[in-house]
Amino acid sequence: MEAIAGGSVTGDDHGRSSKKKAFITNNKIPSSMHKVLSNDDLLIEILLLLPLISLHLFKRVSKHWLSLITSPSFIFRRTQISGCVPPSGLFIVRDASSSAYDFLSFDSRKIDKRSTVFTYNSETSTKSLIKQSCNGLLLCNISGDYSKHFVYNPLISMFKMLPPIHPLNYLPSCFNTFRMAFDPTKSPHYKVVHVGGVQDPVAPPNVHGCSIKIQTYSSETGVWSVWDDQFPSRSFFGFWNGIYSNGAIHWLNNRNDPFHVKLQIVDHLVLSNIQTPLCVEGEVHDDRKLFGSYGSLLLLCKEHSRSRKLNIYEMKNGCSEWSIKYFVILDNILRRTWKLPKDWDCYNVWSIFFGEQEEDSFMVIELSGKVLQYKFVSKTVTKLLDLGEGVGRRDRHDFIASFAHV
Amino acid sequence: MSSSSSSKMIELRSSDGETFHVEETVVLQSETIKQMIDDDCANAAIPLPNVTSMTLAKVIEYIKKHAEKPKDDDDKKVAEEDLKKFDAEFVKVDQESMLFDLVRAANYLNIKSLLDLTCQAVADSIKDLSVEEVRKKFNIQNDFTPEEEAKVRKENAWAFD
Repeated sequence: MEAIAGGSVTGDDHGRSSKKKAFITNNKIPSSMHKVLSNDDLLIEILLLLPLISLHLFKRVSKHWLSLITSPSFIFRRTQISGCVPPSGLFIVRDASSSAYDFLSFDSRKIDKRSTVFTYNSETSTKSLIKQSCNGLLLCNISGDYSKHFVYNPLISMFKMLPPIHPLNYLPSCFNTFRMAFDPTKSPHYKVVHVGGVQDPVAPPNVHGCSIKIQTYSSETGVWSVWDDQFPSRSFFGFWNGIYSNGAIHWLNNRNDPFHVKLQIVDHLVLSNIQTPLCVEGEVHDDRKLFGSYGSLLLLCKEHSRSRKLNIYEMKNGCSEWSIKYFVILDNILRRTWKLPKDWDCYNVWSIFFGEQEEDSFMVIELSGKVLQYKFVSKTVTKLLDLGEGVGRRDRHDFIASFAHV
Repeated sequence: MSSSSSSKMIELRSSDGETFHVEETVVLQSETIKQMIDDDCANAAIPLPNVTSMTLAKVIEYIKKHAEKPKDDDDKKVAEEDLKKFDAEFVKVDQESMLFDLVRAANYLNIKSLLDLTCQAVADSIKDLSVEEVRKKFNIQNDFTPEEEAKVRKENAWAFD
């Protein structure tokens, strides 16, 4: 029998973890369950397969679970497991003048889904604003001081102030925009891209005569590097709203452009325009918005801003073409559950996520203060929260759980 | 590819003394048994003192299904889908204790895919539970002092309190 040891996770069922058994009394649960749970190697295999948000919550189960989940080797293994992580909630700024955020959880475990106050960076008394949410990390800015940006992981309450950018001969209040690039499925390191305007040698000295210089910060080296390339400023008007996906930052630049702009950050910078889909009549959609989802970039198009018909396009990793994924008629999906006024048109799409399994894909819509989740495949609508009227235009950012260090 | 008729049969004996005859090609999915065969220890019935006949029957059902080889590429896609469905049904066991028996057996026999499948099923069964529900389900005693628990709670207060 001793011969059967093998290279399995553990060769001995009653081995290494017996000292922890005191916390589990086996009189109420099946013995096989007891044996698995009191074997740390097996328990770790199970815990590794939990969603991050559950894992984070389960630190409270017992001291032993806390020590397993927070051990460096466990965190290392967990970060190796790649995959699409859906947003678990939204940060919504409380009102236009404040930098307090409400956290709206999509998780069913939270009965009152609205947190009281969310003040991250509580170590400092200064107010901060979320500029961008990127696959688990937030890029934030100390309000009132545009030069101070920090990267924050709200799940593990970790933040890092970025060093100042290199002082080039920047024109005052010309661009000066920061965006973050982070994809934990590709690398544990993130980049922050700064775009600033310098005087264009051949143009008269005004904003439109400036040209763009780019610096990037790498969390791997901890320093800002200035790129030699210079770009025309006209391509960067929408950069402040850029979405990171598949090694590039994408943004919609001009309302009438039949394309979106893509800035690839590889061993050199590549700026390109990518055709966006047109309306049936061949015109540019009046209302377009980009969304990021781990595996792909998404584009929401409406013929006009009040249209209740949504075209959702997808650009998969490695592709440079848009393909239609869903056509959603909001009237059809909402009228089944809600009594709607005849001419309702005041709504906002807050979030779209495409899961690895199509059943997991959903979008979050705000409709007269109600926050609704719609699943594309099951065509079900769930009300998450009622925030009251007047929240539609509030700044909000996805919360994606991540153990990534900053 | 070896045809099923010519494959050598391996005899396995469960903890309760029942014997099972399984083709060698099928049983090689168990790294533990493969090692024994390589070491020439499999001439007589292989005793598996940690696996009951009920569990072993399930494990054999699993490895048999996973040993089926598709004939061509078209068949491969169908087979993959079929296997996915099989796996999903396989972990829907009547008794929850069976799932844990399978975790232990997969670990003991070192069948990686079965260990992943069954651990995932256990993880799925708790992922949406509250902390209190997890403690109750697994009969885990909360050994935090109120102060310690408050400290852990504080870390994620913005999200879950």
